[in-house]
Amino acid sequence: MIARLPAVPHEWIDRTKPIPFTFEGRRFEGLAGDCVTSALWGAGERLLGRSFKYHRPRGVLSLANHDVNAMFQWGPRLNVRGDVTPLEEDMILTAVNTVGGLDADRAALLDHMGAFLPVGFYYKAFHKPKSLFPRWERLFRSTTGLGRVDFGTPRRPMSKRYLHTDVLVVGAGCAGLCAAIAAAESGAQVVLVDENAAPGGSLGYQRGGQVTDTALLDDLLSRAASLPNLDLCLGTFAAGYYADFWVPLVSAMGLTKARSRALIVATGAQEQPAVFRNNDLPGVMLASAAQRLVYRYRVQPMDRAVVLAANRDGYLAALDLAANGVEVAAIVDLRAEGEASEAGAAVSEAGIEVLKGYCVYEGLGGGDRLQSAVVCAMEANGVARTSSSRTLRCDGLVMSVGWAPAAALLYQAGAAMRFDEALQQFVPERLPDGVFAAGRVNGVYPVAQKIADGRFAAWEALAHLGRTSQTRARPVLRDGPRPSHAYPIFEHPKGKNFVDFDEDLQLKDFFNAAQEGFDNIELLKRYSTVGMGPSQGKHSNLNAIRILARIRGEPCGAVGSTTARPLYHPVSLGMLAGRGFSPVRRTPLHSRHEALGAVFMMAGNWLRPEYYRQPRKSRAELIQEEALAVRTAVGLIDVGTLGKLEVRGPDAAKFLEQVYAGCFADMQVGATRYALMVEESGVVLDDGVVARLAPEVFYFTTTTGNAPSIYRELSRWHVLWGLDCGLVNLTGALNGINVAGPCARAVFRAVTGMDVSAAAFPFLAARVGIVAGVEVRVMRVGFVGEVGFEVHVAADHAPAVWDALLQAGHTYGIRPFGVEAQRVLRLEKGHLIVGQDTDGLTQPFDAGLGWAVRMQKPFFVGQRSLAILKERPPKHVLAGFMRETREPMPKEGHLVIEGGAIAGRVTSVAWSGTLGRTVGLAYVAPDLAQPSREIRIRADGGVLLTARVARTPFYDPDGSRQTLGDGEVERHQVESGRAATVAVER
Amino acid sequence: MLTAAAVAHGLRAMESVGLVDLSSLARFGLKGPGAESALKLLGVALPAEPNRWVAVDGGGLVARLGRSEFLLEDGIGGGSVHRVRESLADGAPGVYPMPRQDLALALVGSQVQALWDQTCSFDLREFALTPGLVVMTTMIGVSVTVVQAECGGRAGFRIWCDGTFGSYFFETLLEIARELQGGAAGICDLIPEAQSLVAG
Repeated sequence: MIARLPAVPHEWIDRTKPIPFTFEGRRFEGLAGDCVTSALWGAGERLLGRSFKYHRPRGVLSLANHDVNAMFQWGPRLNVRGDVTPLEEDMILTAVNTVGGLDADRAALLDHMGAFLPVGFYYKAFHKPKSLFPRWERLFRSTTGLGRVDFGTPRRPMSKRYLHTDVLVVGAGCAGLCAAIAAAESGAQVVLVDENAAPGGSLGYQRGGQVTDTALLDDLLSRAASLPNLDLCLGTFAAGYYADFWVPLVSAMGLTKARSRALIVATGAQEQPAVFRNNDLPGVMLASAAQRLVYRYRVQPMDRAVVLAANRDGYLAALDLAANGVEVAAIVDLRAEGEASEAGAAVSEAGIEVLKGYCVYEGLGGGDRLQSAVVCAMEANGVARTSSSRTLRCDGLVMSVGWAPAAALLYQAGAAMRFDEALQQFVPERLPDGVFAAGRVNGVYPVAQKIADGRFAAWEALAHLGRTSQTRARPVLRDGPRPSHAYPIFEHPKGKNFVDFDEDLQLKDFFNAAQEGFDNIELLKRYSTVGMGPSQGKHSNLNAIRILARIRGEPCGAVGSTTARPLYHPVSLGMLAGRGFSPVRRTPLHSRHEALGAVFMMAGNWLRPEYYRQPRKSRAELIQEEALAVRTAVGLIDVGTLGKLEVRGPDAAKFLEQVYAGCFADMQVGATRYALMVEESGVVLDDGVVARLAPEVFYFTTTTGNAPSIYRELSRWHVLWGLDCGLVNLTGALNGINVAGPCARAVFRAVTGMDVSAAAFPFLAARVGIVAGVEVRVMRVGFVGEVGFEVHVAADHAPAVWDALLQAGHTYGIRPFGVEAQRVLRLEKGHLIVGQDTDGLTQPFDAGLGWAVRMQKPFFVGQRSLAILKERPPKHVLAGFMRETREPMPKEGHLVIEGGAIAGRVTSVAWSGTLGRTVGLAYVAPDLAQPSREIRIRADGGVLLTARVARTPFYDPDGSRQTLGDGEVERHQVESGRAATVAVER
Repeated sequence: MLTAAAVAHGLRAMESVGLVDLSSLARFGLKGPGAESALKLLGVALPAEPNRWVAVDGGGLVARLGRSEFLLEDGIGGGSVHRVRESLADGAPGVYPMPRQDLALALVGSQVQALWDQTCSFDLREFALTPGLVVMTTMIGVSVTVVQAECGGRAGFRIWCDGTFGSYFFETLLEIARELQGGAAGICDLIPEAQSLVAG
C-alpha cells in the first residue's frame, strides 16, 4: 500500500499505476508520475544521498533540479537527478559518492575532519615532498567525482532538431502562460516550454491552504489548449541563449535548436536557503520543495514542521502544510513586524504560533535526520540572541526566506541586470532587442501582477514582430512586499552552516577566502568553488554575494554576480553530439575502386583509395608495387578530388595574373603551366595547373583539401575586382583520371583518336578531344615524374573512361595506384604538397618555389609582401635528404637537431623502392642545406638518426622520363634502374 | 521491371516521407552577364528576380540562382535543357556554361517537415510567405538548393546538391526517413509517366 494524501486537482501521480523499483538494494514502490525522490520520500526514506566533501547525510532540498546530493547511478547512467527524473519500472538505483553504501558510508568519517579540510586546502598542501604528489593526486582523483562511468555503454544516437517559431516563451508558470496565451491570441506562432512535467509553476503548488482551488490555473490551461498556434512543450528546458535567438531546448527526446523572432523569459525564481548550523539535515528543505511534495506527488513531507519565513510565501507554505496533515509547530519569522497580509491573518486564524524577529540558530538531528530546531530571538543587527533560545521538536523545517531570479538566459542574451534593494534581487535593467522578461525573473511576485506582466511581455514581443502598432504604458509592478530577506545567514561557533550544498562550503569558508584576498566575486568563486558544483550555484550564488557584500561593507549590487554560461542544466554528450553529420564526398569512380579492392582513406572530406588490397601482401608491399608499376609500365589514378575551376571571358587571363604568382597572359592556347597562389601575407596558399583551352577560357586545378576555400576566395576577388569574366566551379561536375608511366602514351593512344605523339602532344600541353567516345580535356602533366595524361571528363562518363583505360592498359600491365604510391612517386621527384610540405608561415622562397613567382608583374595578391620577404635571408629552406636504410625511418614532424638545438623538421619521408633509399623533405637552417651535409633527426624514443642532404629531384633529375617519345619507352624501361642509380649518386 | 510489391513499397514510403532520386533528369546551368538574354533568345521563360523559380512545360523548371545565374531542369520527356545545352554548351559572349552533375531529389509525404527539422536549419514557413522561392542553404553539412514544388501531383520539395556528396546525402536522409516510416521511392512511383520512358 502506498500512502499518499487524498487526491487533489492537478496532482501529477497516477494512483492506478504502481511502479516497483530498487534503491540501495531494497525494493520500493512508487506511482506513475512520481520522480525518484518523491517515491522514496513517500516511502519514508529520509536519507537520499551523501554530500560531496564531508559525506554528510542529505535529503530533499529544492525538488527543482538542483538537489545534487540526491543523485543516483542507474545502470550506465550516472548522476541521475532524483528530484526531476521520472520514476520508471524496475529502476535499480544506488546513491553516488558513497564508500560501502549509503547507510554505512565509510567516508562519512570525513565529516569529523572538517577542521583539517578548509576551503582551498588542496592549494596549500601536498606540494612537499614532491615525490608524494602523484600519490596524493591518485587519492584525490579516486575520492572526487560523482558516479561511475561505464565506457562500454553503447551509444544511443539522439537526433537533433530545428524548430522555428515567432515567439518562444520559456517557463509555463503564471506569467509565461499569460504571455504565451496573449501572443498566440494575436495570431503569432508560439512555443511555450517548461522543464516540469506539467505546466502552472507555483500556481500548482503554492495554494496557501486552498487545497482544491485551482480556478486560475484551470482557466489558463483551458485557454492555452484552445489555441492551435500555441505549442506547449513540457519536460523541456531551455539550456542557453546563443546569438540571433538560438535557444537549445533539451528534453528526453533530445536536443532541439529553437529559433524565434522574439523571446520571452518567464523562468521564475529559485527559492534560496537560509544559512544556519545543520541546515543540511534531511528534513530541512525549501518551502517550495515541501509544497511540491504535497501538491504534485501528494506526499506528506513531514509530520511536524517548523517554518522559517521572511516573506508571505512562508505563511502560504505553513497554510499548505497545515491543510495537508502536517502539524506546524511554529512560524519563525525573521522579520520583527511579521506578515501583515491576508496570509498572516489566516495563519493566526489557524492557531499557528508565530515567533516574530526570531531565527533558526541550528538544527539538531539524530539517526541521519532532523529531530528539532533551536530558535532564537534576533538582535537588531541580525545576530541570534542565544540566551533566548527555544528548542522546537520537529521532523521537518521548511525555509522561505527569499528567491533568486532564474535569469541565466537573460544574462546570456546580454541583459544588463541591477540589484534592486527593495526586492533584494537582481532584476533586468536593460534587455536586448526582442528579448523580454516576465514574472518573478522580472522581480514581479503577486499573482495579479504576474498576469499583467506576462501580458505586457507578450505585447512587447508582438510590437517587436510588427504585429501591433498600439502603444501601451508599462504597468506599475514590483511594488509588492519584499519577497527576499537581505541576510538570512546566521553564524554559529561550531560551523556546519552550509552556503553551498554541492561543495559543502560553510559560512566560515567565505570569511577565510576573503581574508586570504579572494574578495572579488569571480576570485571568490574560483578559490572557494562556490557555484561550481553540479547545480552551478542555483541555491548558493546569491547567498555568496550577500556574504561577500557584508564582508566588503558594500551593497550587493556593487559586488555583482558571476557569469552564467550555457548550458543551464547538464546536457548529455550524446545529446550534444546528436546524429553526427560528417559529409563525405566520393568520386564517380568509387564503385570501381571498391571492386578493385581499394582501401580508402580520408583526404579532406573525400574518400580516396589509399592503396589496392591483394591477398597475402602487406600494405607497404602493395604501395611499393603500385609505385614500381608506374615507374616501369603504367599506372592509373583517380584524381577527381582535385579542385577544378574554369574562368571565361575577356578578362580571364588578367584574373589569373592577379590571383596567382605566375604569368598566364602569355600562355599559348593548348598549353599548361604550374600555378602558385599566395595569401596577401605572402604565405603559400595553394598550387595547381592552369590550362589555356581557348583565348578566353582557362581551366585550372587546385589541391584537394583547399578546393572549396579557394573557390570562395576567388569568388570574393572576382566580385571585388569587377573583371569581365566568369568563374565556374566544376569540381563535382568533372572527374580527373591520370594515366602515367613509360607505357602511358601507348595506353592512351588505344582509347582516343587524338594525335598523342610526343611531337603533337608534348609535355605540358593541353588538348580537348574524344576519349572512349566521350568529350574530355587532357593535360600532359607529370606530378609523378613519368609520361602522364590527365583526363578530365564529365562525372557521369568517368567510369566509362576509367574502364576503357584499364582495358587498354591490360597488355601493358596497367595497375591502379592509390594516394600512398602517388606520395612516394612525387617525393622521388621532390614535388612538394601544399599543406604537408608547407605550413601557415611558409613563403615561396623558403620552399624553393621562387621560380614560380613573377615579381615583375604589375600586381598579384601577396606581391607586396613577397617583395619585402624576398630581400630577407630565409630562416629555413626546404631541402631533400636521404638515408641508406629503410629502418628506422624518421617520421613526418620529427625535428632536425643541430648543436643540441632545433634546426628544422621533417615534412615528408618515404621508402623509395625505385631508389633503394629512404628519401624525404625537411625544413632546415640554410647553412645545413648543402648537398651531402649530414643532418641529425630526432626520431621516436629520442634516437638521433643521421641523414644526408641531397638535391631534388631524387629521381630522374633532368626530367627526361616525362618527355619520353614512342621509341624510347623500351630503352628507358631497361634503363630505369640505372637512371635511379645515377640520381642517388648525385 | 517494376513489381507490384516494389510499387507498393514506394507508395507506402511516400505516404510518410519518400525520397525520390531524380538525378537522371536533364539539367544544365548558365551564368554570366549574357545568360539572361541568351536564354530569352532561346524562348526560355525566366523568373523575374533572383532566388525564384518558374515551372516550364513538360514538368521542368528554371531557377534563377543569382542575378545572372540559372539552373534549368527538364521534366519527364521535356526537351528544353537539351536545346539550350546544344546551343550554349561552348559558351557565348558573356555566357558561361555550368555543367551540372547534381544529386537531385524529391522529398514528398506527410513527414517531410519532421525530416527537415532534423537536417536543416532553414525555416520552411518562408516558402509559404514567398511563392516561387529558391533557397540556397545547407542540409546535413552539404550545400543545397531547395524549392517547394509539386512533384507527381504531391506537395513536396526539390533538392539539388553536388553529386560527389550524393551517396552520403541520400543514405543519411534515407536513414532518417526510415525512422519516420518512410523510405526511398522510384521515379515511376512519383511520376507514373516515367514508366513508359523506362520501359522504352
